Amino acid sequence: MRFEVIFKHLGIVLLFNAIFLFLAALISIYLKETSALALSYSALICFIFSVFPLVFSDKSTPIEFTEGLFIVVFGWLVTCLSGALPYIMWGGEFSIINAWFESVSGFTTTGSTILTEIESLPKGILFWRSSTQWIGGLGIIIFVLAILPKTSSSSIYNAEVSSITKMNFPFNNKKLLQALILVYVGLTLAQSVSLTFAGMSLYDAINHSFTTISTGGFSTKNNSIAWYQNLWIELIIVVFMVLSALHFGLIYGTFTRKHNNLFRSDIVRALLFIWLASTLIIAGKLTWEGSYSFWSALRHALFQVTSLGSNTGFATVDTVQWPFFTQLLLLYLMFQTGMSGSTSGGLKFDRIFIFFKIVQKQIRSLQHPRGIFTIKISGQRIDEKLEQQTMVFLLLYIFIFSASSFILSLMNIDGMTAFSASITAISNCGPGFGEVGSMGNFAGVPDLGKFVLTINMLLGRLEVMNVLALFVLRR
Amino acid sequence: MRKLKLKINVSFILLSILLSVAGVIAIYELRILDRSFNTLILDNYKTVESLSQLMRAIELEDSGILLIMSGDYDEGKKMIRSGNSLFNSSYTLARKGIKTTEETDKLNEIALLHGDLRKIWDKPYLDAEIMNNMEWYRIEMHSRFLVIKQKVHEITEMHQEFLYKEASLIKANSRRAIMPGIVSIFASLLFAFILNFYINHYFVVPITRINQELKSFKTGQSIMDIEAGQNKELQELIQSINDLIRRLIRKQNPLK
Repeated sequence: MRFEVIFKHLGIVLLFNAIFLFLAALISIYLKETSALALSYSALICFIFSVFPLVFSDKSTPIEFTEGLFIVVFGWLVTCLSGALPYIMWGGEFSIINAWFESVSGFTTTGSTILTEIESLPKGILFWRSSTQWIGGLGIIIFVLAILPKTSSSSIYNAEVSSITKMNFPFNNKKLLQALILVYVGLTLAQSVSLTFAGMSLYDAINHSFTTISTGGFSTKNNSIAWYQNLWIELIIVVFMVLSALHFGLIYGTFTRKHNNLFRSDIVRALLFIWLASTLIIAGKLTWEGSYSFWSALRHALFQVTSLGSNTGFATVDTVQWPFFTQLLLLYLMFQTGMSGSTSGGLKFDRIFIFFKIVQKQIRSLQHPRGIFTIKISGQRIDEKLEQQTMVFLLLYIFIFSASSFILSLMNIDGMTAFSASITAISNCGPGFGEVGSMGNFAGVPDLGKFVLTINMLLGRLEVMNVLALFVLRR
Repeated sequence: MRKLKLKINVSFILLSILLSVAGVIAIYELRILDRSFNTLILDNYKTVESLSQLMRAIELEDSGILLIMSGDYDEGKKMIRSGNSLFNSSYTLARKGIKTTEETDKLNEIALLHGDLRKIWDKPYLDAEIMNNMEWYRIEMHSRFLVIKQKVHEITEMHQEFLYKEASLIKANSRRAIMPGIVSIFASLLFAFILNFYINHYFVVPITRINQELKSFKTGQSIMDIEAGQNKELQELIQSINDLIRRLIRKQNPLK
């Protein structure tokens, strides 16, 4: 393994952080905030560590698969570490473990927070907090890939972009990258403009767009979107949360009138159907319980279903107060997450869809023992290797969040909090239930518990297998 | 070789920038800390002291009134005079030291109440009916003293709260002064580690190999076959040594 190649690429990863830290520092300097020095110095450190390897850099050479894996996994770790620097240096509620938690939660677009007083934070720090989600949303590695020549990027590409993402977009790597970035930037701009028109300040609109399109869910307000009490803002955010949970390649295909588009995808249809059905069921249950009028229940149910279903994690109400049945349904939606190729983290709905297709195939095989059956999604045949990968991933995923729930409950955290915190962390969703509900925070979780949850967040973001391949299989 | 020198120089310049900026930030934050510390220790000490003197002044005045009512005019008047003088001086000092508008409002209330009290404290020796009338003392004087004491107590609590906030701010500032230093220590260690890796990888390892090849040349007369990676300076050096060896071999054996 060539460490000089790895250092060089990790340097490029840090360059993106340096740019956004610099922007956050400018905001703090302009507003004469106490965070100006912390942000500026963090930007300088990131810049120096990104430029330094380039001084000794060789001309670009093809990267081996193991090196690609190393760059992807360590790229995320280095990003999260550097992202914690301004928090650590600024202080306030940020102890070292809290800074690490907030940074990992940001970059993995989880959106869980340890902050109890978000509005008292300097605007520069809040902008950096939202930026971490925007950088992490598409995956910082994707940005890096976009500026690397094709020869040196294919190994990193294969390590970062899962086969399930490529399944929905049968074009070459560069084309998929272009589509992802174009849709990502386009949606962010469109949402910023829409929210400003709906009455949000420009600063809040940019921050909330950063965290909606990345399905992150960090807000600049303690009460998240509930603070605005504005139906139009809620509706705009719902639309963009839905779009952000769909495959960006398919959105690109829809706008460019390609054959592979949102309307032809079986997975999109199934996902939207489940969300719609869940919204109606939750709204019905809330109305029946007498918690809200039907329209009010429908408004809140729609927002919470799309927020937790897309793994964004914004809130308009405290769902901890809702009936247990609705909490369970929302937990399932958190678990299934959005589509691959979107900014949703965790399991990805595509795998649930494939899982049910495999079950269907097995039943048909039992009914017709001599028959040969294949799985087709949107008219496309699914490789048996992908079926196998899906099953392994699903089992590993369940094993990891069960194990972390167990570890958390060892720390005297109540069952619902431990279970929902584990699911929300590995699914990169944000809020859970119990002590860590949509209007609560993770400040009360013990330090070791916070560390376990950050591991879950990283595993969810890196789709488990990459990390295992690097740390386990190499031995 | 100029490029090689430049690379190493740039590395050290980057390291120097990292450390210098951390130093500047730490000095800046320490200066803020120093200023806050002075405010907290010196100014607030004076204010706290003046508030406790204000309380003592009121108690002196109260005792003076009681002495007059029990017939000891001279001692009573003396005590009231000294209490009043202490009240005026500590009030002026407290007014200078207080920081918030709530504290100022409270101090104004104390001044007003004390003014009202002053208007009636002559009554016991001017009016014979009031002399030894403890009921009059309890209703007219003691209750007023209690209200003033309560106000002084409240302002002291307010100031303690302010002090707590100031101390928390100093704590945050001290962290901001220390953290760039700690972060830069770790960053510098990491930087030194990576620099060491690059120097080893690009310079030390190839030079060691050149040395080994030269040693083997002495015994085996072979031309060096070393990869210098992408390092142009070392490639040139190896090329030059190989040319030299070829020339040496040709000189020793012209037929080769």
